[in-house]
Amino acid sequence: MKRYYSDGRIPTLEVALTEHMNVGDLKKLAKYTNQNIPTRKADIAAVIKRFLDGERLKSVWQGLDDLQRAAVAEVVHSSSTHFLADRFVAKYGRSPNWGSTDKYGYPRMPSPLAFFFYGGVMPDDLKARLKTFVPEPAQAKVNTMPGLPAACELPWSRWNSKTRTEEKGTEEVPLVVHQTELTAQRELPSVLRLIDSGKVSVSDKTRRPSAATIKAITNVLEGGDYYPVLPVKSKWRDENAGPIRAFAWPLILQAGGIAQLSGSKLQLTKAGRKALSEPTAETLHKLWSKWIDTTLLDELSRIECVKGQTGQGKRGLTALSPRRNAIADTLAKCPAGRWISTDEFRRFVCASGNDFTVCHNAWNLYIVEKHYGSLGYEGGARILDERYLLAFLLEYAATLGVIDVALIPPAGARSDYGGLWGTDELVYFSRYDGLVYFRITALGTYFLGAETEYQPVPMATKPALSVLPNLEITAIGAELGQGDRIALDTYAIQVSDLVWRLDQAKLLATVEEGRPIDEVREFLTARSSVAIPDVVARLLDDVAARSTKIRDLGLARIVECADPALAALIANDSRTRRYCMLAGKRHLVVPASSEAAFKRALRDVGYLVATGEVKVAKPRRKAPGEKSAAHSVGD
Amino acid sequence: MSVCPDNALVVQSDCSVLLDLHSPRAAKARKAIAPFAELVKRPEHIHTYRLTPLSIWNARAVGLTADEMVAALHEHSRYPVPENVDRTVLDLARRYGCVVITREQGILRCTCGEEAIAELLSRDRKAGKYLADRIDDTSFRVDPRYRGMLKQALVSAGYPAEDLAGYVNGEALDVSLRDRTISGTPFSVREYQRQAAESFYASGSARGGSGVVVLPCGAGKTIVGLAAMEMVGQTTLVLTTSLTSVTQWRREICDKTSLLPGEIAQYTGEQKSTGPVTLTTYQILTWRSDRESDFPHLELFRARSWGLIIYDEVHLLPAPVFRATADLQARRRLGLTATLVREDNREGDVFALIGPKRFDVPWRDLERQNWIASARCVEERIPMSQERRMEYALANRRAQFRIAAENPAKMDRLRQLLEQHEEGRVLIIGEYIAQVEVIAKQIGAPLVTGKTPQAAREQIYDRFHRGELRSIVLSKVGNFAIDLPDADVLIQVSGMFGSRQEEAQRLGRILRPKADGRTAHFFTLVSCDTREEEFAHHRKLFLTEQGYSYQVVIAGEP
Repeated sequence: MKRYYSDGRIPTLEVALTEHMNVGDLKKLAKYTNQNIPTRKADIAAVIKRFLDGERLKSVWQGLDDLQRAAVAEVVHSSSTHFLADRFVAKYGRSPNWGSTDKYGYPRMPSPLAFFFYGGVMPDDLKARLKTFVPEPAQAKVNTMPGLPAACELPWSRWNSKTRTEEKGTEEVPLVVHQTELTAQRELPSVLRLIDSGKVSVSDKTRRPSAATIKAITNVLEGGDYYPVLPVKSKWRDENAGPIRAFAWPLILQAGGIAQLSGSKLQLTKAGRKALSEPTAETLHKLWSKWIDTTLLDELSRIECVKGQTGQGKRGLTALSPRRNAIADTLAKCPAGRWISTDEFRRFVCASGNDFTVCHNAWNLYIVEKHYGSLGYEGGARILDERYLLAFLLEYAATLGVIDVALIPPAGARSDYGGLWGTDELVYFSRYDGLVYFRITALGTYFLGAETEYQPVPMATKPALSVLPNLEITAIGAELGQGDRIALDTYAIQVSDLVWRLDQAKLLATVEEGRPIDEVREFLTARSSVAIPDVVARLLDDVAARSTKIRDLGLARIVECADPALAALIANDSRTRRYCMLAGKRHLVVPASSEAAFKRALRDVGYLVATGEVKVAKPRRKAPGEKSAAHSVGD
Repeated sequence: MSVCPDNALVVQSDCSVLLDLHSPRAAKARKAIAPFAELVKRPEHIHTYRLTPLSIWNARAVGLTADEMVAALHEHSRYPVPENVDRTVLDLARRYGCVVITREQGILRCTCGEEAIAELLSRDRKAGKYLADRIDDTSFRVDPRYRGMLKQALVSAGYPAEDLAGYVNGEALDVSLRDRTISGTPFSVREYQRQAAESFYASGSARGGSGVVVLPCGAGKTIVGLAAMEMVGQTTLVLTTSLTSVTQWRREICDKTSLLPGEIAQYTGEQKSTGPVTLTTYQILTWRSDRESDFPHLELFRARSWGLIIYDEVHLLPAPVFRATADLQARRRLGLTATLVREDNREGDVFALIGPKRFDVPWRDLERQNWIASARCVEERIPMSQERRMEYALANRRAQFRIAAENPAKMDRLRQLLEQHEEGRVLIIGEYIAQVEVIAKQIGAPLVTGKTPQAAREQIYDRFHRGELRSIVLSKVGNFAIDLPDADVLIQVSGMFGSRQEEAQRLGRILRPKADGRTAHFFTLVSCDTREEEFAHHRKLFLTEQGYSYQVVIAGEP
């Protein structure tokens, strides 16, 4: 009886021959032994086992062709005993020779490779013996290019109704290269400044940026987002990709603990404030590491044509971190500075053993309609994996400066999804379809662990500002970055196109919003082409000093006494004076933290704090002949 | 146009122009735009100019064309010039010269360049009433009495008149500048002073003869006035800000011109006489017995047939004098000032009634050539005692300023400063009489206030000149026109709220070039954490904008 092991392994060759093979298959295999084939199954298995005994195993292995040996080596030197056909094809370009098949594809005569695998599994004992002499397989390699073609050739076909033929051809679409290493380092401070200025709103549920925020972020991005917004030709055919970097930044910063939600706005955390003055490369490194593990957003959710992700389909989705780690590990194996096509990278992901899947069960994910456009059909899951890869690379890896990217517009960039049900109306499957090539940047090699340190590329940071003794800041040096502009708007008052003025009230407001004055000082010192004038330095000192002279000690309650004497009594009584202080003539201030103690002490003194409207008792009417003893109470 | 990083100008859409002094082409750029852009601020590193209607019209008045202005902006601009700026300059420049006032056969004629403008102006609320008498489609007969008012109205309407009606001649006056002063020292008019006078006079043509010369404090504006007198050679009326200034003008005229003391008359509160050269003050001209009555002394303008009227410190010209000047458009008029900026924003009236800016010289150039002294400005913050702080805290807002200003702790710091500058010639100026009296008493220096008789004042100034006095304590009478060229240290113990003009005038007292080239020191004593600090801040900003380096020191800090 066939025994099953939970991990699908087969402990011994004997078990494999007796339990995982039928007599017919054993007989076919036994033919290679050149011995008389017995009739009983156990005897045939014994013949084959003897054939593979001792040194004979090696000679059988030597009889294999190169590809078959590679198949053996892949399993022998892997942690698994399973032969992974897809990975093998990805690495070697084709499958090994498993033997002949009939016209329906069923095996007729196995090749000698069948001595090593039984249902695609290599027995444990056989693997151990093979390991002693089978050399390790070659590492998977990724094909790279030193440069890029000027354009990408996209095939097209159209039906010619006159000739009644289908015409085919190719169209050259120019590639647009985005170099991200410096861009990311310049954009990060800009986005941080934008957040600091309170202009970044995100949803409290999804943490995604609002439309207005995306517009604001797009304005501070260098050259805008990857794809500029084009006029929509038809409401049925909007070819705009939509925001990519502008969408990614707020999420990356939230995931990295640099920004957090306060109301509906993002605000910088302590780490975020620190990041304003730290080298941006280090902050980006932290953000990259944090993004790999974040659960804030599944990149798949950005492929909006895939429905069901928040419904039943959600259950079939795999964990996020392993997917991203698989991609990051594969990126780490890619050479830096060489262009790689995304198709080649997808192959390499698989070939290098880092293949991943975004869902275990794609049947609940669908295009348009669940029963019609389910992605559980053939090819659906593969397209999801590939698009996930593109989304991660373009929206997050490139935004963080890990890879440079070469893009074409997404509409019409890929046609691989054409066979899926429900995709007829789609202009693209995902907004990332236009990612054709990428290359690892120097920053990327550092993030991916290929380099232990990053030598920042000297950024052309010409001093952009002149801080003048009349408290004006002019930005007539190098071109003013968006981040600097936002910072200036935060710290100073704009008086003309390129002139801002430092103002005490504005600086105090800046400090009140939680920005230390040293941040302003550092900003001005770093950006100014001239030394900070004494008058400006003094103003900053004054603001710093004044901002600490009055402290908030928390809430307090004001208690009104019937007359000044009573107020003075309570304020000076040894039992109550610790908990209150006199404010004016008839009022006492009781800190909220001392309220209970004050009330207790007040009762000891013989009073209580009346709540609600107090009705003053009317003086008792004098009895005839009673002496006047009444006295009025009041101010 | 692409970005030219070496260019010095940045033209902004609000018509302000930034000049980067560190640019290799800064000097050329400054020279190119100075004729048509008003220098607003000149702190270290970056100067700010502004293209205003008046600055453009001033430039047009001296013959600069609109295309030349636009070309200068484009040539020196680092970034593309905003389109609206080009349009503004062209439009404003086009307006100057659209209306011309001429004299034909004894008739004053106002001619508009186009019929449409003539129609527009004849319907203008202000200008229309002076343009009722039509000669043809584009010209109007103008009553000579309203020549000045019409020019004022035309400036308000945005069509400044080019006044080519010429001037009437005054009585001839034989005056020439000396080579050697009465005191025996060699004397010559400096090159820039001569240029200023020539720009004003324009060889006696109708295109010159009225206008303003802008020179920094201490640059010798009086000498420009004397040179102008020599060129015009006619009886002259000089309007100044104070009696002290009258005395100084008198001294300068006697010392540096061929005029004899008897030819110089003084029309002041003390002495009311007129002569070939008459010196007077704005104060006496604007005196009247009550708010309803006329200004009797304005008759002085008609007392003689003046060939030249000189307005000293023209930025302080009071409104009644403006009105009187409107009637004097046939007389040559010279305004002298350190700044065209008026606190009452009546720069347009100066342009219309006195005339356009004829000459301006960069302050830095004069400092570089040692014609004015360089100054170091320091704000000294003096803490108040705990008791005084409490007194300050409980006082009303107006009283607070005085409590802060009269902080007794300032006295200690004043003494220290006097010790530090024991070789210096020190002026101590304060706002409050009680305060300056105490100071004068404690340091044993003479005190000059408004109550000090003129003779006593002159005596004190003379003693200071001769070096017999090391320091003088002054109330705010010291703000204007006291000529104490040897003074090199000024200690301001209190000031008038945020008056920027006062700050500049006070600093001007010590900007006369020193024989040994030493730097002047300007100290402002301010009480810490008080409103005085706020006001000092405004005054300080003004001086930094004028290009003076400023330092803030807190007493007791290392």
